[in-house]
Amino acid sequence: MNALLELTGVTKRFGGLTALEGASLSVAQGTIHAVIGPNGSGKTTLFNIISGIYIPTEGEVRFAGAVVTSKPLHQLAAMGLARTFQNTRLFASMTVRQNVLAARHGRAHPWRFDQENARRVEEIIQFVGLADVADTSAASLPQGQRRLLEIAKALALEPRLVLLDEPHGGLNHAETARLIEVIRQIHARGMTILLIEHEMEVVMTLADRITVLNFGKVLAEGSPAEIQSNEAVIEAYLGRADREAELHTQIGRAAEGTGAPLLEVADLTVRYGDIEAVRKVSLNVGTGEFVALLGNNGAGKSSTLKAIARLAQASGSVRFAGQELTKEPTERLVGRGLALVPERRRLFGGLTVIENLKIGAYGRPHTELARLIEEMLELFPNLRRLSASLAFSLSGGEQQMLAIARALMSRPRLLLLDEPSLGLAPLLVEQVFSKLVEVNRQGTAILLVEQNARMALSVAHRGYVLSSGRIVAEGTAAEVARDPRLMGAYLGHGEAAE
Amino acid sequence: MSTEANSLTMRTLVILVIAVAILCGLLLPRFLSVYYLQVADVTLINILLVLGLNFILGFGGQMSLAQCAFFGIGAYAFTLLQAAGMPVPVAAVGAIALSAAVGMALGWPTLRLKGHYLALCTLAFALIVERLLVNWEGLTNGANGITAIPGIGLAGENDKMLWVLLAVVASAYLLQAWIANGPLGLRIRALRDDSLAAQAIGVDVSRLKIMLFVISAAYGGLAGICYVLLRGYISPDVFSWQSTFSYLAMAVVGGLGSPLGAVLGAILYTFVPELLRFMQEYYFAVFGVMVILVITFFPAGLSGMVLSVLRSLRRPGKSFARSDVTHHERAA
Repeated sequence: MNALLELTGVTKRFGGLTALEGASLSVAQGTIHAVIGPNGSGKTTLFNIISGIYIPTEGEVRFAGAVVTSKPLHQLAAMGLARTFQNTRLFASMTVRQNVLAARHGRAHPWRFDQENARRVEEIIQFVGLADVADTSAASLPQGQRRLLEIAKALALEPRLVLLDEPHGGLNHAETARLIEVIRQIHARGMTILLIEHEMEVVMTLADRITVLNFGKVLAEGSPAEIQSNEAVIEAYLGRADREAELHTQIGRAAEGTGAPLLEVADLTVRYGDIEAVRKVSLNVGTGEFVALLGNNGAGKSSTLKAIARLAQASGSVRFAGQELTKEPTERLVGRGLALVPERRRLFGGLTVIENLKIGAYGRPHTELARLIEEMLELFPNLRRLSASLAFSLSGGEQQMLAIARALMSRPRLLLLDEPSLGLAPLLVEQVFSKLVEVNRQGTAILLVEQNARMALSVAHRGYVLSSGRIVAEGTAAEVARDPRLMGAYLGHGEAAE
Repeated sequence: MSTEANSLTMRTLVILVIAVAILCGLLLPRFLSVYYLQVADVTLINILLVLGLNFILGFGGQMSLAQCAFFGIGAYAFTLLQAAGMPVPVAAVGAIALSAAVGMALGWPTLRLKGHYLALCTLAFALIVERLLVNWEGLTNGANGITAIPGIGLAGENDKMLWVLLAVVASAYLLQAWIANGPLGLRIRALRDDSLAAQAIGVDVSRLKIMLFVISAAYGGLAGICYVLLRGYISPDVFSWQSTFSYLAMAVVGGLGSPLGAVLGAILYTFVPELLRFMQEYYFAVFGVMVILVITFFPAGLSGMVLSVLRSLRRPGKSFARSDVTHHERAA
């Protein structure tokens, strides 16, 4: 096989953080190669190294036979390496046509664009299907067309290798189909494609080869079928099966609750512009119950949670303790007994641990505040030692504990948690989960959004699985854990999900 | 915009600009007093400066505050080269070349700077140039300035200079509009819109930023020469670092990234205060309020305002100055 792009032993460190470690990758000429991996596994770092935005700490990148390790992006573009960006980067002051024309600047006469360039630009716009909007401003395009224009810009360079960074992100069904078609046609024209993608359906249908990253290292490489059945990959996405049993025996399962309904969500729909992130989701959490909401990246988990906490605009009904919440202002939800631990924790970094806790119970009388803080420090003994430290100086696990403690300060009846395991080492994840069970046993109901499905299901009472904004499976934790649709939602066994 | 349509619209623009210039040349001396004719000449020089600033700030999005320095370098270089016995054309070319070279010298070390930092650095540069003009007495005759510069013998003849300046400004305007729609213009606007995406389509951002400094400085230098030709004398206070904010205000009020904006901004900023003089000490306060109103309610500037009116009158899809329209649309 003839490698067009070759990475050997690439390591990238940011200060103390190792984003990539000894990663090697070989993209054969004329293939569609996908890079997948859980959140924070180093995919984007890898792309930024290939495209010359980062210089690797160690290792070598070869493109078309030449070493390009520290070549800047614009020189790589001239050599035939084009890339798109995860958050489309269009030229907002230009029309669609000018965006594509701008990418032809290197092939134009220095002072004017000739007929040949104009013709090529027309052809590319035609090809990606943007001819109707060629003269509209790029800033006004809807998401699907933004993605297509991003690709059109890359094609205008007439590259040999196209790097696509999550081309599918935020697209609806029809747009996804169109995008897959465009990528196939690009490939048919002889271009080599390397893509990062979360949507496994897309990866499994398109890719010839897949490289899986986890914690900055290459975990596996192979054909889609090989990857789907690779035990290490499944583990990286879903969590470890043996760990699950172990954790279960250690801390047991969470409370079932009293069965009385606490949170009732019906037909919840969240839209961002023309993207439907959550489609008619209905779910329930009983008083004192521990419920897990699972799904792959971009499945709509966080959006659902945000909609419940009224941090995102949504339609549908959210009833909490019998009362409709959708008309309530966000800040009043805390008073009603609803507390959210947001993704990435959102602590007040410049405040101390105690100050962060105090903010969690803002407005309560002094004596009660002191009692609550004491209670939290008892529940989270680690925080006592750190009580005067600034929040940003805490480690990831400690920060997560503090975020949970801060939310508990308001004495919620329902705790909403968004990916508490994100970025934590496995051992810390277990600690966080066992704390959650402890909190739950004291009577607080929990709705947990989590990517680490096995871990969540090992402690939760019930579970829901989201895929592309819809609930595709639900039941008791044990039922969901066995459900083939769970794995489908993560690794794209599309047929099984139907 | 196919190439054919592009050259067609450019042709329309050329005819339009030349027609307006000739009209101004014929009408202004008829209706304006000697004093106001001189104000008109100064306005034209300001247009030239703002057009230059427009390249780096308006199209390129680089916050340069050094325009007054290049204005000064052009004026002094032209004067001194002429004093050294060079003929006017040679001195003019030399002055522009020197401005451009200094622009390159400023662009190189400030490559890594953005936003506030670049603004402060270029402002410091403007300060240095002004101090040099004042204190390097052996060369510049210090604060007293240099008088009786021969130029092309039109110093003080405002009506004749009007034609010269109209010709220079019209050419500079058309050059800017032409560059804006070509490969270089798209590259510059790509840099402003998204520098990383610009690199991804193969734009050498460093080279382009330096080029922007060079072009802006050349326009500034040209304005300096025009000033010498108009007045016949120069002194450092004309090129004071504070004046750079006037050019900045003209560019913003007129509409960034639009040659038409440069014209309107300079007219508003130079002419209107003169018309408000009857208000005596309050006139600048009133003018300040006007500036605030324009910036608040028309973020695309006067040109954005004018073009949106024009476009609502014209058939959609046909517009003569694309760069103006699209920038306005973005701001809107």
